[in-house]
Amino acid sequence: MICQQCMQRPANVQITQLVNNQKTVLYLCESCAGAREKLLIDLPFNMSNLLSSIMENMHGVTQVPIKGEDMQCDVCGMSYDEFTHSGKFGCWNCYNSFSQRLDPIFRRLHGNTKHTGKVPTKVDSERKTAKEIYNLRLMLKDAVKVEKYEEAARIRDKIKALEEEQKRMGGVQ
Amino acid sequence: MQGGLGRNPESDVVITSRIRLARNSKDYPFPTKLNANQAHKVVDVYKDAVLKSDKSFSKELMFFDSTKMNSLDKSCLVEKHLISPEFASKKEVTGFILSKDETISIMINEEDHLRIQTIFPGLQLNKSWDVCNHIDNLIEEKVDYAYSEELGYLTCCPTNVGTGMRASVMVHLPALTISGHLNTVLDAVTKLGITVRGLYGEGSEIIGNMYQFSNQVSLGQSEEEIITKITVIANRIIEQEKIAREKLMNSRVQLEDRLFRSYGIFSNARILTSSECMKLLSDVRLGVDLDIIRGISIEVINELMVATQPANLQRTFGGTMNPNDRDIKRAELIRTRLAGVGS
Repeated sequence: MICQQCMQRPANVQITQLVNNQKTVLYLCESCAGAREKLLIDLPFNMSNLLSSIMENMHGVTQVPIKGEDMQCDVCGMSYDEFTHSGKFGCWNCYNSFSQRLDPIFRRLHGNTKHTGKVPTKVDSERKTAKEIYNLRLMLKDAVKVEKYEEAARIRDKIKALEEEQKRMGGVQ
Repeated sequence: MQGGLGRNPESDVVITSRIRLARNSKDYPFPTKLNANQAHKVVDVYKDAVLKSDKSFSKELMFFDSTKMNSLDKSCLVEKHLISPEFASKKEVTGFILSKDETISIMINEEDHLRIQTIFPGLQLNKSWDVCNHIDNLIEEKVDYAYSEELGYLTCCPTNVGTGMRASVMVHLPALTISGHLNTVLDAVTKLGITVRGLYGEGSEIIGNMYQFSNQVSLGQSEEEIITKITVIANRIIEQEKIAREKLMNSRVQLEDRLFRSYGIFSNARILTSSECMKLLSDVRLGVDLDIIRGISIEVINELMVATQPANLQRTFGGTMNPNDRDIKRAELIRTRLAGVGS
């Protein structure tokens, strides 16, 4: 049998390791086995470690809030400290709760702080409704100014209907 | 990874094109903070949103309670790139939706409530995006997504916020690797904000000269911009790989010798580990692409790429086997599959 790593030398070392509770057996040659031992020593590195180290580096150790002053999300209860350690948010509201700290993180990760991609259809139509209401209010003002009260009443009803629609769809930030 | 593995665009270099969207509901905490009760509800909400959407689409889909799936079945799905290794090992309540042709897979309660993935053979990121976007629109009719005007789709990990999109291509680059030019290419693309990973994503090693290229940034670029960027870069990499292949052909006898030696072992070995198999498969694939090794189709190579992975192999041969038996069965499977073909 040949070494599973270099695929060249004969395998004469068997390495059994446990990864995520799964036993794997590797058959390696002496030199690859030696290199692997070294590798295993400085390997504990993963994405969330990397993220939290980015965050810690940005805020510096001295800036970590002292106990009691730690920001906390009022919806899911996640603390900012917990977020920096795990690199994961607890809910959508964490984005609001920690907002003052997040811009540098987004800039570092994405080079940006503003979304320019897809807008959900619901949000898009809400935006349109809001714009329509704004335009209608201007028209209402003009109608009142020139004492066209019947038209003003019609516009007012239209605004009311749109506002109700807005409330019904509601909730989308 | 089915869906018509015929002659697809650039399929001699690009194995698959994938789009993944991360989405969350605003009515529940992210999976990091979900309790079991809420996790069940999230699974039900999305299961209904997907399966009760557009009939012509939902009749192609199947739902699985992944909590009840056995680990061998999950590993098979990982090997086919239909679920992530993280999802496979999750103990919490999760759900999984798969289309019959395996082009669409949806993970519920992975890192985010929803991970919608579409995977197509060859270089077809636009097509993959069209399908993924359509599914996203259908679900959005039924669920209020966590979305902010400023930051876009809100995700559990800040690396995915914005579009929540990861566009990736899996490419086979044997000639660039053999000729020693791969690092130059990798250096260049990583400077352009592209992440390079191995066959099985984050943290996986490079095997069989397979590389995954995907976007690093999800905030501040539109979906179309990201797709165009990855497609343009993929085309450049394909071009370089083809130039390298042509150069290797200048020393045709040496190249033929190498590829036929690999083919000889591949088709005659009695014991094959999975990593040796992937290395040989890479050479055989190159031989087929260059018309040096004849009589084997790329479809068979693609099929063997999945069928020789540990979990799929065990499923084919009826259950759990120790690694040594697997290595014997792997060689047997290849010999059976290749019987009667070759030059």
